[in-house]
Amino acid sequence: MLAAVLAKDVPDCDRQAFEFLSLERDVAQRWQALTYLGRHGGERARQDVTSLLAGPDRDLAAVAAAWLLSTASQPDPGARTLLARYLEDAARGDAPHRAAAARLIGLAPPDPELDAKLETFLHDKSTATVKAAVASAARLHSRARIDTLIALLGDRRYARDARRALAAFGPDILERLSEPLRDASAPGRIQQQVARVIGMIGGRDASRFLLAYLRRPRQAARADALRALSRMRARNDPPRFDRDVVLLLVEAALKRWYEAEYSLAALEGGGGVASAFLSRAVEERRDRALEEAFTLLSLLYPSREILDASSRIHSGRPELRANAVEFLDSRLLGSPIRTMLMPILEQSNRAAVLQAGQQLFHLSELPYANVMRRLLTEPDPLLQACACAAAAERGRSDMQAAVDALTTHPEAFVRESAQAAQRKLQANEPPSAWKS
Amino acid sequence: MEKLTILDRAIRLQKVELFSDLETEMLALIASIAEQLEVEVGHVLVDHDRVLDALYVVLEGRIEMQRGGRTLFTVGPDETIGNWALFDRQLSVVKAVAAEPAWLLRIDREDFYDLLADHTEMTRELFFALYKRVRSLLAAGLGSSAEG
Repeated sequence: MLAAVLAKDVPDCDRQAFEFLSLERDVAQRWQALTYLGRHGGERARQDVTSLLAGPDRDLAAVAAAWLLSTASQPDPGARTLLARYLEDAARGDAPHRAAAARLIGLAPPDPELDAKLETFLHDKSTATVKAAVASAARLHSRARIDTLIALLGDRRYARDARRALAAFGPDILERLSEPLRDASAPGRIQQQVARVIGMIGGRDASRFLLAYLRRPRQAARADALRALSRMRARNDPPRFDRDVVLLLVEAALKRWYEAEYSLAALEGGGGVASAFLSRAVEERRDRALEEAFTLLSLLYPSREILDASSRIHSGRPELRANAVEFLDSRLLGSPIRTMLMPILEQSNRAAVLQAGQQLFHLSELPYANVMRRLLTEPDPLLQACACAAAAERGRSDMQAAVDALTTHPEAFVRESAQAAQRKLQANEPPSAWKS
Repeated sequence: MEKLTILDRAIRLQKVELFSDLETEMLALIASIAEQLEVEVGHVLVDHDRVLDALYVVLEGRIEMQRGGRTLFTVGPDETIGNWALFDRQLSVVKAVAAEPAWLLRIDREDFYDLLADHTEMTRELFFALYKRVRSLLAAGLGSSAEG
């Protein structure tokens, strides 16, 4: 109840606020009472709070010291020594004390020595302590903690807090933040989270980093980067996206669509459930490429109109689809993208679509074996695993070497599928598990 | 039955109605947490008035769904037991007993939620799938009441 009164800044509650300090144990609540006293209590309140430094409650004394330091016009060596000692002891204490200490570092004014202690708390075994340390690092804008905060993005328990903390640093850290996006060996999970943080920071520079990321082949966080760009576009003050780069990315996405269509043409017919599953996976990648093209176009054109058109195309209702195709046809008039997109949307027969792919991107039809070899060597674990299973299902011993090469793949999922396919190919019989 | 690879399990999971609209990539992720089980005749998979904490997919064999000692129906290959177990903590109203030696996939609810926490895109797709299912159930209900 009193916490609510203090939060609303009701005047003449100095005495209650001071008593509240002794009754409450939570650092944030105590801080709120101190903030109230700072606003309403004047010099008298400051003297009362100073008296707490010598009091028996060490936790309260530490909060009071942090508050006195944060509001002092001159250095207060006594309060600083007390706080530093408290942090030292708390680091060896139980989890609630460690969490309180981590929180206090963020409440006290920036101090390199105290800030350095945050690093220990960011690696603490208690979740509450790490979360408090993350919040403090954000509050202090402590750049020395950026690497640790990026690493914490990979931990599900802290990803949300670490995202917020990193976003609070603003555009200054974009260069450093984008390092995992440029590092192909960085864990996919961290890349995904970093893309989100860059999107939260927003602005033209942020969009440049995300677009540059999308230009590289095979990224784990492709969807996240696209989503981040879309969110930036949906804001009240969207940045101006680099038109040339976006158009290049749309073109690349549409090329991937045609390539997938060529693969599907070669995979068609024959085979059982594993072959069908492979085709389904390729089809999904093809559809994703088109979705990506629309998302990118929505950065350049009125986004609502483009996304509505995309939804209408996938609505399954012919009249809505026709309407959307007509809209895009006129909207993209004069753009080279129109020529690439229209054959896809007009739903001509496959031969016409493949011909368009040949004219636009110099693609040519490949025999089944070539497409399968490409899929087996594609840096896409799911396609590789599916291709192994499909090759085994069709008894394609001509794929044996490509399948064998995957039996030592770093991903267990691919390795396991390749080993199973290897056994089937050697035994030259269709796997019983796939019989439906 | 041989031990299925993750891909084999994903292929089987695409037949589960709840997962049928999920992308192959997501099916493979769910397959990675699905445990392959062998049960003997008479094995009680789910008991009446007990919390069902997993979804089962029958790979081979038949499972009888019983209530009050009576068999209500039988579940066979590619059919599921506990369709809503992943989203519901209600007690089971039926008992599921293996009518013959059977192989199943078991997807534990907690493992499933861990997976969703790591893959938010899957949560989104599942919401769509669930909504679609609820809508079709409602449509079926409205249709039958209109007929009735």
